[in-house]
Amino acid sequence: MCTSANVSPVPAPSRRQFIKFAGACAAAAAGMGLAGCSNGHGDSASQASSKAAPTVEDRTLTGDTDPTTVRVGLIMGPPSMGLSRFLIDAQSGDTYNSYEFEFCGVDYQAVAARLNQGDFDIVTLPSNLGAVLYNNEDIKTKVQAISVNNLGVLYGITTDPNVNELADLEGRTAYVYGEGGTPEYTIATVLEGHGLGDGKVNIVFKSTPFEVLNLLQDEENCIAILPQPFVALADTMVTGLRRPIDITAEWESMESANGSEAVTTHTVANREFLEEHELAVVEYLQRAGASVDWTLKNLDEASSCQVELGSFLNDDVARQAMPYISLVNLTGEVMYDALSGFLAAIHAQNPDSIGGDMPGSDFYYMPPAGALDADVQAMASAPDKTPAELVG
Amino acid sequence: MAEQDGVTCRMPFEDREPSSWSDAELRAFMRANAPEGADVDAMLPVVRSAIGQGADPRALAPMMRGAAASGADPERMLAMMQMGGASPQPANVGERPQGKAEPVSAAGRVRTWFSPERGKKALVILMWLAVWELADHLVDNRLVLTGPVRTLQALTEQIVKADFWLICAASFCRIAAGFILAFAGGILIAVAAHRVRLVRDLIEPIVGLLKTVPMVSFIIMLLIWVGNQALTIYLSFLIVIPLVYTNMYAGLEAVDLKMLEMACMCGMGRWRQFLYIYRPAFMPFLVSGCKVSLGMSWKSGIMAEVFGTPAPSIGKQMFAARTFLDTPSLFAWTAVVMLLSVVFEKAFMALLARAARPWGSAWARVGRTSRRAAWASRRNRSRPSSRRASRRAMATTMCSAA
Repeated sequence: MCTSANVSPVPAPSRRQFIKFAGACAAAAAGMGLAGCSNGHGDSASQASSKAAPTVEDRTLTGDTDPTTVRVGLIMGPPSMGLSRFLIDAQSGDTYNSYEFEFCGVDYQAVAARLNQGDFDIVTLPSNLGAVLYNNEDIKTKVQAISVNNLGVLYGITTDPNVNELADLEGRTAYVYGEGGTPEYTIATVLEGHGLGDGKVNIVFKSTPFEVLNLLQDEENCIAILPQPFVALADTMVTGLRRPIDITAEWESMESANGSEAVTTHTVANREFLEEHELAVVEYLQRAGASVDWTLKNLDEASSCQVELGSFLNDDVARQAMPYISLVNLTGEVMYDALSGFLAAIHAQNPDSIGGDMPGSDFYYMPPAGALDADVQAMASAPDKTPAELVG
Repeated sequence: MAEQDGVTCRMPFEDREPSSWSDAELRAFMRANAPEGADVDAMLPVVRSAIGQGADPRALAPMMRGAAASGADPERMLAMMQMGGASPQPANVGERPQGKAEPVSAAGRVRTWFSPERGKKALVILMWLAVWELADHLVDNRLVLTGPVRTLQALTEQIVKADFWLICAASFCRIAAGFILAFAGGILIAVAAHRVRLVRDLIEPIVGLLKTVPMVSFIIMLLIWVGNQALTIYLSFLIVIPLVYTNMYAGLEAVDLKMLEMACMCGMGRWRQFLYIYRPAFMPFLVSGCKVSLGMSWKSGIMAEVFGTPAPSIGKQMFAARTFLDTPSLFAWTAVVMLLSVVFEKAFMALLARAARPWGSAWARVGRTSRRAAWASRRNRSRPSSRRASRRAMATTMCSAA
């Protein structure tokens, strides 16, 4: 049992750091708590694909190609940390359509509610919530997933020098944060996928990441599985801490992975808006993809503007965590493979976590072939041509 | 005239509630118990008023005889009783034959059940339910607001689930345990603080602290210290105990010192003083304190469960509903919490009301003769004349002061 407050053994600078970062991390973790990462089992994924996999087609853009205003609701933390370049460009009016970004802390329920209210056209959400909204018959808004923002963010960390790979967890206790959310199902899926299911690893859930951090400090040879940015935070607080296990890599090496990924967050659009202004969504995806590429190439510059933009509460922690939050911008068929496999895995663990049923293929937005490579101005001025023709 | 050795003849009307005794019966009772030479007619209004305030002459009788035995003369006793707060009232207030009173009250009960008051109340509730349903349609965002119809539907979906009652029972037990521990602890600490000034001085700042620390701080620290299963009990406990303590302490402080002096003079033991003088004084405070803290225990307990998500618990269900954007279930569980909270409150307040009732009659009914005998023999055995003399001196001082 834990004894004291988690701050006691920390030297003064770390303590200040801790207090400063605690809020940021709590927020980020809460955002990801639900999202967690879970991989599709191969077999459950194939069951789901009885609703035939969608494919990218050569077609023209739907709706109006005139510039429009797009209202975007963002969750603070990993899903927004790759969008820095896009946010800066949008602020300086450097985009064809105008994008109004609003951060809603880590309160994804509010983001979802406001999407349903019609306040937002595009939102970032934990990866299970798009399906939850899709399956919710009580709400009026129809949604479509347009991209995946983060893959796995979970890491096995320990102070035990003898733990070097996933198999070393057998017979051990691991402290985990994120019960009932996607981390729980992700970890269960990975353990099963590597033959460590059926209680071979004693998973003990804690209600807050701080309890886990406290245990890492107090307990000798303690093992924990935590999401970023808590891993980065734990590094500053626990001496001799190592991170030998990357849950995301373990997921990909499962035999049952089949192209699925441990998805943490994704972006969802209001279907009605998408049909009326497809070009605005296509531009969003182009810009978001470019921004992620830029962020990964310019980590120092990208992390230094997180506080200013509002996407994270601390630039230093952002810098430490950025290489490990699996920033991506998966779209189209790649997104389908990654996301549907993930949803199938979560569904296998607990159907309620995705709202009861696997979403149909219409849940996954397929942009017209070539649309993400074509020039936005060119597509706007030639709405009769398919993007593939423009790209050539 | 009562027998001094405790063997008294019981009068038939003594089995009824004293408030239904006629003046003649009350006079007869006083003649049987008051000291020789007492002016029964002068005492009648005083005793009647004491009965009106919940006192029971059957319980007072031994005290009266004790006072007589210790030498207080009738005039002084009367002065003492008046000093003790009992003011004369028209003697015929309570004069109502019981035979007639019964049917009247029964009819009254029937009438209140169907009263226009209740009808009005029901209409008001229906009106607000309609407003709620209307709001659901106007807001038209089921992630934000769920109307009563959809909530009821979600509630029935939950009730048919196999573990519904287990979940309810688990949360109920946690919160009830926290509350009852705090109730008992608060009373004990208040009694200690009332008796020992040092204890009060030591406890007071801690109680102030408990009252002002934000609930969320408790939750975060307790999660680390005690884990999620015990969190609910600890939090309810910590939220309720300052409320119970504060009210109980104020109640004890509000006790009538004159009554205590009288009891002391009559040789009443500490436990009896507690039951018959302190209890009526602190009960109203404790009752009002409990009304507030019962609600608080549920509010804080469920909050702790939502944060700690122990399994099985209502808080975990609410957390899951919030996580999966299942607002109807969230509303349904909220309704369940409200129902359980009301059930617990009603049950506990009923028990408390029982404890707040005058006990004299109940005490008298249980083998009064034997108890009186015990009382008398103990008095004769254990009161040496020196103590009797000192009591007499005290009584004289008291009355001359008056």
